[in-house]
Amino acid sequence: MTATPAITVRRLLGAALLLATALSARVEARGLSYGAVTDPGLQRCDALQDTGKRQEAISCWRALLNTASPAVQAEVAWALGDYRSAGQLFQGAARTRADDAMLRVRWGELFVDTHQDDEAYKLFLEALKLDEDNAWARINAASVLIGQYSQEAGEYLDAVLKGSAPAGAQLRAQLLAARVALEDGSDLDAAEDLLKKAMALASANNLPKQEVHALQAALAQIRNENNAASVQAALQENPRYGGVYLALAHFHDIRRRYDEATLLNAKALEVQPDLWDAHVKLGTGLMRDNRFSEARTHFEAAFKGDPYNPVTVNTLRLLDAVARFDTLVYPEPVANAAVAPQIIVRMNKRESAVLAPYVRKLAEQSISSYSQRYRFQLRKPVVIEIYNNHEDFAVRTAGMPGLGLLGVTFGHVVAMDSPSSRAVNDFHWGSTLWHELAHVYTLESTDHLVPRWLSEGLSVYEEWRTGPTRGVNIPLFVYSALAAGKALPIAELDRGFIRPEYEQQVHVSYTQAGLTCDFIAQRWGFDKLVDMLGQFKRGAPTGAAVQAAIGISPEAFDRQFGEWLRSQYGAVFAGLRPLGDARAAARKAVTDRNWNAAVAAAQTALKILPNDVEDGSPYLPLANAQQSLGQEDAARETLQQYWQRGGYDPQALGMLAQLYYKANRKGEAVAVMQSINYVAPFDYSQHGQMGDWLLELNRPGEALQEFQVALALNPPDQAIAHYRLARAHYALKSNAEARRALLRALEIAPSYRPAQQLLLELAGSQPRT
Amino acid sequence: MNRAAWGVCLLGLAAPASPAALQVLVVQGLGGQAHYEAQFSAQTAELRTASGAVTVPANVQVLSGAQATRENIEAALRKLATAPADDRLALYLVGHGSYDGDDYKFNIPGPDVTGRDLVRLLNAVPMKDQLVVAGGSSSGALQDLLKNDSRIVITGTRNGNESNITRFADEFVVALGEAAADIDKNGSISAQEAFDLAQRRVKDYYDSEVRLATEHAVLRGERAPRFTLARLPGAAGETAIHDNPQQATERARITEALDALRLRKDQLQPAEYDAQLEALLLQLATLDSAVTPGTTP
Repeated sequence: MTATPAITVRRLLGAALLLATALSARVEARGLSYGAVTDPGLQRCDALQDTGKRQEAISCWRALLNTASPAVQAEVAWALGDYRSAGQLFQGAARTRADDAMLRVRWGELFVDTHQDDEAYKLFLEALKLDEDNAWARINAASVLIGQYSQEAGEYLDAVLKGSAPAGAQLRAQLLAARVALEDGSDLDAAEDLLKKAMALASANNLPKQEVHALQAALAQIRNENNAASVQAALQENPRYGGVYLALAHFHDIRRRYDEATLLNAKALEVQPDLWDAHVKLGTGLMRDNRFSEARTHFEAAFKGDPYNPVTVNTLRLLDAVARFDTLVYPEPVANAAVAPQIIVRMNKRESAVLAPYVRKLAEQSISSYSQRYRFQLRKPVVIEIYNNHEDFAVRTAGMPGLGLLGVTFGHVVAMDSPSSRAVNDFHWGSTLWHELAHVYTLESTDHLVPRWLSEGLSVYEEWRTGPTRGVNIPLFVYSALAAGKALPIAELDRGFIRPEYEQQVHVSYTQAGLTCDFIAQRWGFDKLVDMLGQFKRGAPTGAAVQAAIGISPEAFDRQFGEWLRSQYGAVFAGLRPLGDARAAARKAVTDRNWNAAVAAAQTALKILPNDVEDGSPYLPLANAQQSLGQEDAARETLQQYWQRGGYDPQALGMLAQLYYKANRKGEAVAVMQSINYVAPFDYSQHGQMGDWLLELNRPGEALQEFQVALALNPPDQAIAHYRLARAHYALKSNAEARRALLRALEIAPSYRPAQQLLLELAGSQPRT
Repeated sequence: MNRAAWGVCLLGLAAPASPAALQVLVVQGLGGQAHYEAQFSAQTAELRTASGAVTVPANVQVLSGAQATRENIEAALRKLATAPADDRLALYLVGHGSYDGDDYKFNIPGPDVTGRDLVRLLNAVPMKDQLVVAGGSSSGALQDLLKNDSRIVITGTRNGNESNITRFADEFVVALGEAAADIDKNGSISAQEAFDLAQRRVKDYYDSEVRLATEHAVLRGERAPRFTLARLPGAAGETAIHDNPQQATERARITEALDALRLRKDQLQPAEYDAQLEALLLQLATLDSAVTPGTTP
């Protein structure tokens, strides 16, 4: 999972990742050594462990504790779960054996086991300095780097695969390469070939085969073939090998088959109850299914057994935070009536009174729209979790902080950042929610078999065409990439998300996927996209699904898509440089207060790309300049264009709202203000203003909601806030509520004349005006 | 409703004391850079405007530019020491401050005026009702230096180590002209009200930017809710000042009853409290609607 660069956050912020973290190939705690351990006594004990004779293995290791060799003692301590002692023993041994590369390799593997990959990597490099051909150091370094998505892993891996490494190291390399190939999924034949070689190597050298069997089972699973024989073979070798189910769960998990992964993780624990990784994975899966209390049980067990795993610690802290959240159910439960919940919203108590009304409204609108468009009724309530602390959201998603995403979908559960977790105008939270809710439909309607590119593509498409900020808005760097021919063939588009080859490829892939859906909808109709989803539900690969849904091969599609891109955006591609220059000139002219120059430059930019509402949009300096020149009508028209094309800078929209109001276009003023709620909902004065305008338009119900939100934001002027509430209640003929609100207002400001007038009117002392 | 708000309401209703004059001294320090100069000049202009609505022009003195020297500040404060003791004094320091671990320095042309200088000069002014507003960087270092039983001290930072430019200084000055600051709706802005709004706006800014705040404004001084600093444009003014003697008596009765009721709030059921509150508020509303602001009783 790649972090999102700050400059690209703005647009990525409209898109979201629905895939869970691709899990690194962590071995089970002190896993199979495949010959890296050479002490005969240790080998005997390890063999007992490796064939499921756990108690005998423990007795055997204990008997070795009095051995003279600190390195062996370290291995024993490690095997018995005493990681601290093991680390100290390795450290002591390393001091006296300065040239021992293998000691450092094994010490590094202990660090891997305790989730300290950076420390481990340093030791592997130390080992390679001592012995540059050490295959064990290479394979372990490769394993760490693969977990970090580093391209450098290939060098280390290839050196072992192609060289003359010991059989055990070769076997590990083949397993690692096979695992990567299975995760990638684009060349399963290559994975199969590697596994065949691994099996032959294991057989010829009397090495354990359980991990080979596990990956063969995974391959069969990916191909939708029966894998029972491979699973049985693994368990025959080691009846306590929960890792076989853990591996199968992993390959479901990375393909978003979360329900299946959960079942398999549970099976792993039946076979091996102390497989702590399985507790973590099962807990994570349960959380994705909104089963928090069951999840906690597993994370607590994982913490007892493996307190070093940061995912476990972070998630337990997250669970504590979520326990303090509000949970809101819509429709609201009714006494004596069974009302099926449709939407469950979970968020920090401080924010629920402000955000919940807007979340509910958008969620209801999206369910209504998507149910029709995707011809699918949800089977479970949608759960929407909104995190006011971004790091909590990151841990919810990936178990670790530091994630550069805004939202994630796990099926019927959506998790996303609250607008309060980021700077104002950093992202359009309404669009993010809209995007995520589209994922709920594309995932659930295909039993999670939809490929990544289509699910992201449809979510981006829905943002552009049906969401709260409509308009096909593409960052300039994506235009540059498309102009440079970086669009991937449709059959390979998933690769752009899962294994990006350049820094911005994920962002480019999101846009390409959206444009692909836009193109299909325009040329063949939106229904064909829904038909394509049906193909994927039946297990078709991309090429076959495209052919079946729209009647052309993927190659023909790529040609037509390329032609369409050029016809739609060719002028933009050609004009990127002058566009950039004009944008910069407009901004500079505003700084210099050279308004006419700003107008000219901005208009030049907008001729090239009228839809340019992204960061640095020329619409804003244009409106600014027009306003400064006293051209209010022109400024209003400019901001209207900006807004209608999907621009959402709150200050700009606030200015537009005021200009509309000034021009007596109150309905439009209110519409603009309402759209600001989906970017920056925490401004109490904005809600108050909107409520006032809604009252003027005789829409007291909506006004009441705005005033209630304003009050929930604890504005400094409480008297006015309560008075406004009173006015709305009064307009709704809820006199008792109006009276209560007036008393609160006058309690603070007893001589506040407007509130006094209304109180007198309510009391019947004065006629209603 | 919090105690501060109640304090504001109670005092807003009280019959005003005979108006002691407000003496205002605004000292605008060095900006250093052009945009700070412009910012400080704008703040000074706002303060001059706000002060002009609550006192006579002759009572508002501004030292800026080359005039804002240590000698002139000392001279101005020595002159203010000869004003009537029941007058009120508002001293505004508009500009950058610094703190060297020992004393505060306000940046002006020539030798800076220090916190200790200000203590010495202000202690020599007999006016009991003093307000010092220093909204800029490191101003918090003045809190402990200037505190006494009656002085109100408002600083833009909580100590001398918060040395970044503050947003508070601007927000405080802006608040002096905003209806949103007038919590009790009496048409005037007190030091407490301006501080509360400015402090809130500073907090909202850092929250909206998801940034750690580099400034934490502090107000000390119990008289802050009573220290009027500005009047809202177009405000009719406190209705109470237009009462005839009968109305004044009635207002005093209602005010006393409201105060007493508020003190008993925790002892009453909410419905009973509201019923009694409403009765008193209706009496006050009737009284206010009978009094016409601007007429001579």
